[in-house]
Amino acid sequence: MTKEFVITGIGIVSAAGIGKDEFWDAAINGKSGIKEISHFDTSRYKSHLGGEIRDFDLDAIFSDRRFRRVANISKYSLASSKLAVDDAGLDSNKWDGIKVGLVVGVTHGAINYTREFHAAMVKDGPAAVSPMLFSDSVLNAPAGNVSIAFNIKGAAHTIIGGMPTGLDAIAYAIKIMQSNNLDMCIAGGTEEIDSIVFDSYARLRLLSPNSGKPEGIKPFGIDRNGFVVGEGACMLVLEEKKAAIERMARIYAGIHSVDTALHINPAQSNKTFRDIDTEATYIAAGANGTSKDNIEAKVLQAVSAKRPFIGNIKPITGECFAAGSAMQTALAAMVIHKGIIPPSRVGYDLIPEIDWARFNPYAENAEVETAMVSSIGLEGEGSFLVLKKVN
Amino acid sequence: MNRRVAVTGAGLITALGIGKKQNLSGIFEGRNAINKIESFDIRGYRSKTGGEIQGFNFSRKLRKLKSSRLDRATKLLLTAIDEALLEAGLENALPADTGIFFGTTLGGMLSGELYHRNIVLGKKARPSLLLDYLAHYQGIHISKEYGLNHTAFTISNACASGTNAIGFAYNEIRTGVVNTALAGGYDTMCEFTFAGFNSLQAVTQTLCRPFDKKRDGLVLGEGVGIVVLEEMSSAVLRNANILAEVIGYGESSDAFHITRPEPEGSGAALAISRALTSAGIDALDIDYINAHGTGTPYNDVMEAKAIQKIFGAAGKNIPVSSVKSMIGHLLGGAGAVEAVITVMAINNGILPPNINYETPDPECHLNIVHKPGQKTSIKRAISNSFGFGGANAAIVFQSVNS
Repeated sequence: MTKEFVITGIGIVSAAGIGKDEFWDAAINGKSGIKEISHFDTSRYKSHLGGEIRDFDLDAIFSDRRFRRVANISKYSLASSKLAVDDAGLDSNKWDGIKVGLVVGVTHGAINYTREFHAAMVKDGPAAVSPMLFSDSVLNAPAGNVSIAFNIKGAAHTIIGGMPTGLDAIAYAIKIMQSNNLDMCIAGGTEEIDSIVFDSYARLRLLSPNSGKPEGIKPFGIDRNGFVVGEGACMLVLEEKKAAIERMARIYAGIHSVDTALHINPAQSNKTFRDIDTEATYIAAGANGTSKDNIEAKVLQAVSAKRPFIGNIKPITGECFAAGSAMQTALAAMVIHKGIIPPSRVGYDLIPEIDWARFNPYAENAEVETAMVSSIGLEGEGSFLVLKKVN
Repeated sequence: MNRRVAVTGAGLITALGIGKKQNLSGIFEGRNAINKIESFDIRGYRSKTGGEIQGFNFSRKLRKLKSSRLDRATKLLLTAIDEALLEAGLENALPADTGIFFGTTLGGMLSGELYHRNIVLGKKARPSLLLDYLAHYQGIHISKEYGLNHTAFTISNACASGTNAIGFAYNEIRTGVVNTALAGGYDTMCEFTFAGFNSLQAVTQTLCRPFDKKRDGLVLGEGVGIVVLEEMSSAVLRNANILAEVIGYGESSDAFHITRPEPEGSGAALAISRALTSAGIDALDIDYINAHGTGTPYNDVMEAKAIQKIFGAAGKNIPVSSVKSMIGHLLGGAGAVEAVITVMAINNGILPPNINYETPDPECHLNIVHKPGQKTSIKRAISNSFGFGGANAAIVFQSVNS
């Protein structure tokens, strides 16, 4: 008998809002966190927009002197973990750390510190580099910091990948909870914006506007012309369903399945995603205004028996890479829990590949029994997570 | 489902050589592969040495990829995977649903470094350098070259990454998710990490001497270790040459400090005990411990305490060694390279030596294998890996004759 796992806590730090309530409010009211980038100078680029975290004070959410100087990516991770743990009604001072796990999905890592450390090394030589920047630049530094902050001793993992990695982290968390006999796991994704990442995606012509049309992120849009970068973190508390019910935790949704594939071919979707539940009536899609949107639209059609509503957070958060797919999962879980589908607010023409789905101009009340989260990375690797309402 | 997992092939590249055969002679002799760093300017650094791979020329024909876009890490991976597949007899028969499970801390950092260096110095930076920089791209490239479509899973738990990757692949086969896996770890020598470990004053200015009283730091190395894992009955059915069986894996987290291990070794001990429990064996069933043994003051005494916690009085008798004394610390590659060396120790009946060991440390009361060339029968061996951020992992291999 396989165990069932549920989401009992949500913690979000995003440009669209800090904390799940601000995030939900932004989704309902279409409040976008995308603005002109302020962290660095974009004047020599065609792109100027980004979903930056502003007015963020780690101390207000989680005050601990040990983490005062950590990289932004670690700060977002610490804050979102704290918000998720609180949201789940848990207290890390009281839990048995050996029974708790952590899985953090990362795409670029602490790239600010990596860049600063490396620039000092190149320009000023070995004596100029900072050991603090180095130890906090490693890919598993966010997970290391979170495990220390919240006494997580069961296992702490960092998995690396593109946009779908937030979903892969959830799938992996369920596996390590079983292999290590853990009670719960914090899982999600985290990213920070940096000039070098921005520069790289601009040179690879992936940033909007890579056409003559105006800058902006238009998922599934005919005139889409690249993505807008975002940053932040989203951590979820996952628990075994039975234990969550026993402690009378609020359950947002149950995790039904996560399917992954490399080099996705839409024509073979039914074969590739054999186990996927096709009953979803809401999909939190990952489309980000790149060429992969067509593929995602086709795969979603192939694995949808109903005519689902399509939602997309990227117009309000920007493309947050590994953190983005975790944020999509948080939104889908809240849709199931609240029974409300936020408006999709698509103010542009959509590609014909997605015309089978539903886009709602206004929020709708709807009992969503099954929701899907989809994410396809830049190399055509994709993950599809199915959530179910828990009664 | 609880299926058995066979190792049917392995590939290895370290400073001792390219290929298992080259490494085996070096391990048997206890050869020091640490030399003066050649790949970048080491003036200004405390330490000057490292375990760089010598004479690696990549001339392999590529089916799907373009050599000019590949990082050294991917080139090393392709070479080691070819060796592992040839040994497994799967060079032309690797199933498309084979899973890829890699551990790394740097990914294609050499490409990223060059790109960024050029920007910093105001030179032209080739965008193609970015195509193999991020740490998940090596796995994606490998999946393309070998036509694999299941997963390219990349884990980065600092110096435990390689063991985590093989351990996860083992669990995925055990529980029926995949039947075949390419699993391992890699990292390249690059100035970024060299400067970082220098700034942390974690590197030795003399020799890497794991568990020695006079140990004063680690030495960096580079390389790749790859294993081909298969579900046992299908490996037997196709008459594969089975090198060893993976019988247990354990992991844990210290929740203590970002760079220092928990000094009493309780996190490390938990990973070891979970590995033994999942293997269903007693600590006394272990014939050889392939230690993490970095040669830093902190790690080695912590590891000795963890071993004593789990193995009790017998912990003073079981042979223990750290091959980092010969090849250096391969970071994300360490656990994978050491797993392959542990399997080679089982296959060849040799104890890999812990060279440079002269002065016993009463705080590390262990049976250190300090003489090279010792032959013995190893039925079961465990390989430990511990990393920054408090990541701990241990994996248990068993000879097929037992």
